[in-house]
Amino acid sequence: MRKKAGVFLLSTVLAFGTLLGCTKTEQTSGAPAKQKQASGDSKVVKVGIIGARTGPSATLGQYLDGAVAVFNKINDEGGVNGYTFDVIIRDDEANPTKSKELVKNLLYKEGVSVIIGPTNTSNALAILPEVFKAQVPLVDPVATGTKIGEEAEKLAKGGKNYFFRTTTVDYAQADAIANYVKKKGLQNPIILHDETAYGKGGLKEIQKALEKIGVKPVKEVGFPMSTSDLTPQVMEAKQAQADGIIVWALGHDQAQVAKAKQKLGLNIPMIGSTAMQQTNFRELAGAAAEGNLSIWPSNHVRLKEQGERPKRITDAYEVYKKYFPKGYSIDDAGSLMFTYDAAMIVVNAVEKAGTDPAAIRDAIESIPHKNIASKDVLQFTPDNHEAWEGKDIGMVTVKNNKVYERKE
Amino acid sequence: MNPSMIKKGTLAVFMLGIALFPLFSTNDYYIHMAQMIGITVIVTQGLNLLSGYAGQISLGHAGIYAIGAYAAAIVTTNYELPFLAGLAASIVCSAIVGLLIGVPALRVKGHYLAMVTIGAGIIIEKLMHEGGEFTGGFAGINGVTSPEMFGFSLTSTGLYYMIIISMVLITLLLWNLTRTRPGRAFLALRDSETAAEAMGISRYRYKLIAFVLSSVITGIGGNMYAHTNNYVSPDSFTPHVSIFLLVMVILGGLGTVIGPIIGTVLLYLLPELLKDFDQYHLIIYGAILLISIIVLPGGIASLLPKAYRPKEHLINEEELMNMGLEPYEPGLRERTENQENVILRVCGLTKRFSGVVANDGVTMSVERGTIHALIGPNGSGKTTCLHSISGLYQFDEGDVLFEGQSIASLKLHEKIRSGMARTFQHAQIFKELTVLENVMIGEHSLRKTGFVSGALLLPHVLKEEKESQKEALRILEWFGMKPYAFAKAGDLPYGYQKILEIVRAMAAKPKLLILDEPAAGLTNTEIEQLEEILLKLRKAGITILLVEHDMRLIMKVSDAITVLDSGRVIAEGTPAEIQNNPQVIQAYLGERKAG
Amino acid sequence: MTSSFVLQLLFAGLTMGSVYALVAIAYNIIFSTTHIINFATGEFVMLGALITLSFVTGMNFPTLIAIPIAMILVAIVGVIVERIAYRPVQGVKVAGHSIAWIITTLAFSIILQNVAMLIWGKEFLPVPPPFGSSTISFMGAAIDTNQLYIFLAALILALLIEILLHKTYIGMMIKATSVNRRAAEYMGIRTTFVIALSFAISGGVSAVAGILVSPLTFASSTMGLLIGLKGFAVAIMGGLGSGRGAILAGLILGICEVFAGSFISPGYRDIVAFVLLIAVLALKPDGLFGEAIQEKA
Repeated sequence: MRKKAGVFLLSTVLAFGTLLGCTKTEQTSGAPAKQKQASGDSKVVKVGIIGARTGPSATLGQYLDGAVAVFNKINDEGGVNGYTFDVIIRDDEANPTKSKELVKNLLYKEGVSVIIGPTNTSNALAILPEVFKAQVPLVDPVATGTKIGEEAEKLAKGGKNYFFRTTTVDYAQADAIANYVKKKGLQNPIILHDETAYGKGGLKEIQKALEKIGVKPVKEVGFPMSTSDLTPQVMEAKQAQADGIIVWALGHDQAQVAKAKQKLGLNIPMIGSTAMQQTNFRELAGAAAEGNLSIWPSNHVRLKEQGERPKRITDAYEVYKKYFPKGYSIDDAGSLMFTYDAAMIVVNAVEKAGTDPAAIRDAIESIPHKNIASKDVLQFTPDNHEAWEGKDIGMVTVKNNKVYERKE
Repeated sequence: MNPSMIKKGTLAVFMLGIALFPLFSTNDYYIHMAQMIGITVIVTQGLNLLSGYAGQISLGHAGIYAIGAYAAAIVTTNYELPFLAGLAASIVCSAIVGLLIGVPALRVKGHYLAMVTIGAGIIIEKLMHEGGEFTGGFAGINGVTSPEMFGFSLTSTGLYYMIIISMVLITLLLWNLTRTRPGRAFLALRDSETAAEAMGISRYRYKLIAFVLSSVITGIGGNMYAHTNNYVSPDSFTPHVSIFLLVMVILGGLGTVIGPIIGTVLLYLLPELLKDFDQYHLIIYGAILLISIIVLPGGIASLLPKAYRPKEHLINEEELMNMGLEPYEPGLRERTENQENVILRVCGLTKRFSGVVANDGVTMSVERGTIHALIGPNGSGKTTCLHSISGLYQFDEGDVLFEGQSIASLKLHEKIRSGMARTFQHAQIFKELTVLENVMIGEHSLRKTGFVSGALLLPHVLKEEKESQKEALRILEWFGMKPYAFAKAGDLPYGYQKILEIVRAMAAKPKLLILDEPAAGLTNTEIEQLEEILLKLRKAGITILLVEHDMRLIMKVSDAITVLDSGRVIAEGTPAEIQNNPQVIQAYLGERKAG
Repeated sequence: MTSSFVLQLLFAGLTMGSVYALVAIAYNIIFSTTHIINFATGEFVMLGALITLSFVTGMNFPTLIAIPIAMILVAIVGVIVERIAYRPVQGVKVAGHSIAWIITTLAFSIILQNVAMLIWGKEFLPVPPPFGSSTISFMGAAIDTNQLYIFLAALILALLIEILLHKTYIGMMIKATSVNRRAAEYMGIRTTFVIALSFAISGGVSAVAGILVSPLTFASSTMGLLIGLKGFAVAIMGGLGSGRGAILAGLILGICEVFAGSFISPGYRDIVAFVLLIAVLALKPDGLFGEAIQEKA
C-alpha cells in the first residue's frame, strides 16, 4: 500500500518535473521565454552562461548576474539591430565533469552562439576544447588562471582563437604587483597564498614576475582556504624579516592576514591580489583593513581621492541594480563589471555580425569596444585576447573602509 | 505473456536500443551523455560489487575512479604511450589501491569502515591535487586524446561502442559471478557472517577480493572517463562524487545486477529535468532523493517483482524437482586411513573473558562413531567450549586435537576442511536465501569454482552448479525436507530452520558434527524427529558432539556424556552413570537437598 | 621555530580541536540512540552559525540571547530530520544492511545547504566574536582571547553533555535506549521520544559548535561539509559513543592539523584528519575508547 502510494507520488513528481523542465521559463527577472530553435535564421541569439551557481564557488558564480542584467536590458529595449537575446544559465557546481556535459548541452542541444563563463580555471580547461571544436566563442569574465589563455593559444594553433577574457589574468596582476615592489624597492617580500587552484596559480605567476625584476621572495607560505586564524603564517613573515607581504587568496582569507598583521604589530606593506576588493575583506578585517594595498585596473570603480567615479562605471552599475536590486553595492561591484563587459562585447559583436558564432568571434576580436564599464576602449588583437596587461593595472588602497585609487 | 518472455523482450529492446543509438542521434551532446552513462554504469557496478554484494559500504569510490582516470591520463598523455598501456596501468593501479584500502578497511566494521573509505577518497583527491608535474596538480591534465589503437584514433561513435560493449560485458560477468559459488559465498557472508565462516568461507579473503575486483572495475571506468572527457582534474573526484555514486547504486537497487544501470540512468536524467531551475535544482534533487528512498528503500529495482528481475541464481526449479535422484548416503568426505578411535580430543582447554574463567582445564575425548553429549547447568561454559573447539573463540590454554592433529591454530573457516562442521544455538541460517541454496553453501568447501571461472561461466562451472544443486536436493530428501527446497529459509518454522542447519552442515561431508543445542526451541514432535535423525546419522558413521539441555533426548541418544559446571569437568561417563552421579545432581539443583 | 610560535600553534590547535570535539559529540548522541550517522550534522553546525549571525547583526539581538535561540531553532531542525529522515526508514534492511538512512540524511544535508544558500546568500560572511576579542600576551605568544573563550566554552559544553548523559535521568533513558531499545520500551521508556530528543540535543550542540567556530572560519552555506566530515572522523577516532574519546580525539586532531599545516605542508592540512584516523584505527579498530566487543554467538 505504501509502495503503491509512493510509486504514484514518485511518478507524479517526475512527470511534473519533466513538464516543468520542458516549459520552465528563465529564472532571471524579466527574461523572455525559452524557444527551442537553433539560432539559424531567427533574430534571437542564444547565449549560454556557465559557472558555479551553487556550492563553495558560488560567490564567484554570482558575478555572472552582471551579464544577465545586460541582456535583460537590451531585450527590454527591443534588442540591438533587431536581435534579441535568449540567455541560458547552467550551473556546473565547479565540477569539470559537469562543465564538459553542460557546455555540450549548450553547444549541441541548445545551439548557443556564444558562451560566457566559467568561474574556475579547471572548468575552463574542460570547456576549451569543446568551444574550439564547435567554433563558438567563449568569453571568460571570472576565471583568472594564466593557463587558460595558454591552452587557448595552443588550441588556436596560430589560427582563430575562440577564447576571450575580460577579467584580469593572473600574470597581469602579478606584473602589476611586481611593478609596485620594484618601485618601492622592496627586496624581501614574503608570499602568502591559499592552497586552491586560485592561490597556487597566483603563486606561480608572482614568482615569475618577481624573477623578472630580480627580486627573490624570502619565503612562500601556503594555507588552506577559509582557514581559521592566519596568525602563524603571518608570524613567519615577522620571523623571516620580510619587508612586504604579498597575498594571493580570496577576500575573507586576506582579511585574516590583515588582522594577524595588525595583531602582531607588523608594519610592512601588504599587497593583495584583486580579490582584496571583495566585500568581505573590509568587513572582516575591520580596522586592520586600513592602509592595505591591492591592484586593480586603473580608473575603474575605485573612488578617487578627488573626483568622481567614471560615468561608464556608474551607468553600468545602474543597469545591474535595475535587475538585481538586492545585489552588490557599487563599492563591491568591481568583479561585476567584468561580467558586464563580457555581455557588452557580445552585444556589440551581435549588432555587427548577427547570430553566426564564427562571425561573432571575429567581431569581438576586431571591434573597438567603447561602451563597456571598466575601460574607455577595449580592443583585442588576433594575438592578444586578454583585456588587461600589467601596465593597465594600478594600485588601490583601503581608506576609511572604502577602496581608493592610489596614485604613486 | 510470462515473465520470462517479458524479461527477454525487454532485454532485446534495450540491447537493440543501445546498439543502434548512434544511428539515431549524431548530436554530440547526447552521445556524450550516453558515453558518460555507460562509464558511470561501469563505475557503479564496481561499487555495487563492493557495497551490495560484499557489504562494504564505500563512501570514497571517487578516489578509485580518480586512480583509473589519472593512470590513463598520465600514461597516455605525459608519457605518450598507447591506450592499452594506459588501460593496463589503470587496472594495476586500481587493484593496488583497492588492496591498500581493503587491508586496513577490513580490520574495522560498519561506520568505522565507512569513515576509512571517506578518508581514502579524500586522501587520493589531495594527492592528485598536490602531485605537481606528475599529476598536473590543481590544474589537472588536459589534452587526453581519444583511445589510439593500431594507428588510428577512436571517433566519438567508436568510443561509445567501446564503452557500451565494456559495460555490457562487465555486467554480464558480474551477473555470472553472483549466480555461481563466489556469489553465493557473498550472499552467505551478508546474511550471517559467522555461519558463512563456519561453512568454510573466509570473510577476510572474500571481502579483500571484493575490494580489489571492485577497484579494478571502477578503475576501468576511470580509464574510459579520461579518454572521453579529455581532461582529468582533482575537482572531478570530490567526496560529492563519491556520494553521488553511492546514491546511484542505492537508488537503483543495492545488491542487484540491474540496480547500477537503473540508478545511473535515472540520476543522469534527473538533473536534465532540473537544469533550468538554476539555484533551486539541488533542493529539488535532494527532495526527490529523500522521497524516493523513503518510499523505496530497496531502490527502484525493488519495484519489479522478483519474477521480472534478472534471475539471481542458476537453479531451474521445475527441472530439478522432476529429476530422478539417487538416494543419499550420508557419506564421509574421504576414506579415512586414520582409524584412530578418538576423533576429537580436548586437552586442558582454558578460556577467559576478562576476569571470568569460562572454561577451566576442560579435558574430553570423543570417540569415533559415537554421539557424545556435553551438558551442564546454565553458564557452565558448554557453548564457550564448543566455540573454542570450532574456532569462533581463541582459547587461552590447552589444545584441541582432531584425529590426532592439533587444530588449535586453525581459524573458524579453516576447521571445516579438516572434517568437522557445526550448527549454532540460535539458528544461523541464511534467511534471505532459499533452503536449497543454504544447503549448497554447506558444500562450499567441497567445490572449486573461483572468481574467474565463475564470472566466465565456463561449462565445467555450470556442470558443477548442477551437481551441487542435485546433491543438495538429495540431502534434503533424506532429511524429509525436499518439499521446502525453494522456500525462503527465513520463512520456515523455527524447528525446520534448526534442522536445516544440520542439513547444511552435513552437505560438507563432515566426519564430526558439532551441534549446539539442536533441540532448543523445538516442539516435542520435532524433538522426536531430531532424535531419529541423530540415530540415523550415527548409524551412517558420523560422530556427533552435542550440547543440550533436553535430558530426555540426551539420555536416549548419547553414548557418552561429559558434564561441566562452572567451567570445569565434574563428571564423565555413560548416561546411566551420569544420571545417578550425585555431583551432577547437585550441580543442577544447587546446594539444596533434592526432593 | 621559537617557543612562542609553537605556543601560538598549540592554542590555535586546541581551539579548533575543541570545536571538532563538540561536533563529534553531536554525532555520538544520535549514534548512541539510533546507531546511525547523521550526515546532516555539518549542516546543523552551519545553521547554528548563520542563524546566530542573523539575530546578532541583522536584528541586533545581544549575543547571549541569540545563542540559545539559535540552539533551539537548530534543535527543532534536528527533530524534523528525525521525523523525516530517520523514522520512516529505521530498521529497513537492503542487501543485508540498513542503509536507507545514509541517503535520507545526505539528502537532507543537500537540501539544508541549498536552502541556506538561498536565505543567506553565497558569500563568506563575517561573524563577530561572541565574547569580544582582545589580545593577551602569554609567554611571548600573542593569544586571541576569542580563541580562549571558544576553547573554554566548547570544553564546558562537552563536559555538561557528559554529565547529562551519565548523571541524569535523561542520560539514563538515552543509555537504555542505546543498549537495548526493546528492553527500554518494556521498562516504560518512550524510546521514540528519547530518539527525537537525542536529535534535538545533537542539533543544539552542533549549533553551539557553529557559533563558536564561525568567527574563526567565516560563515557560509557550505561551511558544514568539511567540519562535518572532520567531526565524524573525530567521533570515529575517539570511538563511537564515547564522550571522552570525542574530546581527546578532537583535541589531538586540532593540534596535529595545525602543526602538520605549519611544518609539513599547508596543502595537506585537510587530510591530516583522515591520515590520523587510519593510523588510529590501525592500532585500535574500535577507536581510542571504543569497546572491542567479543560477540557471544
